[in-house]
Amino acid sequence: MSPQPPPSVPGRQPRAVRNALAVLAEVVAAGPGVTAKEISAALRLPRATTYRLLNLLVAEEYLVRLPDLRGFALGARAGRLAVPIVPAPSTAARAVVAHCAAGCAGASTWPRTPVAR
Amino acid sequence: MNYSTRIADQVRGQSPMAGLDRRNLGPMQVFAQSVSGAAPAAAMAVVPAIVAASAGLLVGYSLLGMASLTGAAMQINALIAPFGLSSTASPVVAAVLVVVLAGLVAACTVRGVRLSAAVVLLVEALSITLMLVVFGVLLVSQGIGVDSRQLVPSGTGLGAVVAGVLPALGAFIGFEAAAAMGVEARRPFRTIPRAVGATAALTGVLSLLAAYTQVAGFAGVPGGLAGQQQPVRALAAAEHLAWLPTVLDAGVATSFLACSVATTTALARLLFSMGREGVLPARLGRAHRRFRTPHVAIAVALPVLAAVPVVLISLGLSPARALVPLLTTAALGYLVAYLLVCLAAPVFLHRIGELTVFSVVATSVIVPVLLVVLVAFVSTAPVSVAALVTGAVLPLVGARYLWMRARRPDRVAAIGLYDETSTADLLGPPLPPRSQPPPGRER
Repeated sequence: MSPQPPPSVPGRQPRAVRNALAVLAEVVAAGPGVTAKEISAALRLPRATTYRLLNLLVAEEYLVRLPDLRGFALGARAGRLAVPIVPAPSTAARAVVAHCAAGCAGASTWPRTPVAR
Repeated sequence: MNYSTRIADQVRGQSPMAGLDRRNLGPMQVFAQSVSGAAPAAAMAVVPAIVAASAGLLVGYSLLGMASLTGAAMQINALIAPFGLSSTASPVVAAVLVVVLAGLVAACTVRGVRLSAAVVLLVEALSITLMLVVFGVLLVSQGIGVDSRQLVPSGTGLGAVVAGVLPALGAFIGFEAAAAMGVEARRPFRTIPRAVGATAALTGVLSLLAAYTQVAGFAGVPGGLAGQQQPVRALAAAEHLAWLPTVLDAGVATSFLACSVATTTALARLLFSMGREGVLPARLGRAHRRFRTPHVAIAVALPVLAAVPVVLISLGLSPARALVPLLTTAALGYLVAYLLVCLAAPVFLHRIGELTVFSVVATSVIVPVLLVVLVAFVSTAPVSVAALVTGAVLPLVGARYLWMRARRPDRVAAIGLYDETSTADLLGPPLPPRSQPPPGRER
């Protein structure tokens, strides 16, 4: 496959998109509170470029500035990039589910059925 | 430490600006706030007249608020005068109108930011449409040909440029009013810079259109535009368009009205955050529980905004004459504020470790220009309210600062509160890693 970008993403845009994603990943890797200078150094990006990308990502709310204004963290909107995770139920709850799946499927008396026999 | 525990010690659960209607305004409403702050329609008609006659944001917002109330009262007075309520534009009617308008503005701004933003958007759109009709009709009646002499610069001495820059800046003043919506805008870091930039562009285009029409219209008249007190009226009379001044009055009245709502909104939020910082009494930092607006700040500010024009009018000044010192002082306040922001920007960027060459260059170009404009402005401004207010405000602000530094150094350190990131803006803490396979897959 040729690395040639499709015509709909012209010029320097592919690099800008890649850099923006790298900045996002770096904030996660370095942890909340990472500063613009640290990100620029870690990614070996020019400082002005890094600042512009960071401000763009803040404007779009994928990143937020922490109250000291130096540090960055993931913004609420970054949550849309991941599939929602269903919290794992506790051991007791899983025991109930397993019990039901094994023995009393279709039992209308479930709430009164003793869980452990 | 993992991501979620590290973030917990850096972010509070609530923004220090909590209580306002957070993240609830769309881009158009924020844009209208800024456009109305700049009041391009009023500037289109009034600024040339002012040139012929002719502690920062707090002063700017307050005085612009007073000026826009006065201007709206003056224009509405002129609009209703022919209908027999008063044969001439009487000062009593003007004073009553100022009070009534202040009451309307108070009702709008206290009831909710969405209502006042909608009012500003509607009224400002109406105003700009009316002004476009006025200037469009004038341009067409003058003939379609392009006045090419205007496109070539002439008389470009430094003095001429400075004399031109002053009124031009006057037209732009208030363009940053959208910044007051930082808490309420839905996506502030995207919406507000765009709104401020687009306002500057729109105001520039409208002012150019107005200036072009008026210069072209008076090209054949001895003395030209500079010899006219009310250029648009004179042009309309020359073209036998008797209805045009009425449309113009309505356009300017609506512009002033939108401007008074927008500046009151901005002023109230400024007082609100100063109340929260402890620079001003903490009561000003209260927010209405149901309407989510800074109602105490509005209740304190609006009576003052209405009282000053009423006093000026009762002293015998006509609203048109009262406008001049009010607008001059407002412009002075804004210019000082803009200058301080320009000086502070690189220091701020350095403090957060994001200083770039560009911002240093931008500051070192803009600050001298603003200084020249400020000096020119002060030297040409009539010795009047402007000097009085500046003379009163500067010692007051200085005394307050020194008192606070001596008694409450902690409050001085707290200056600069803003709608900081709170837990609601963050991506929720990641769940603890799962050691067991998800249920249902066990068999």
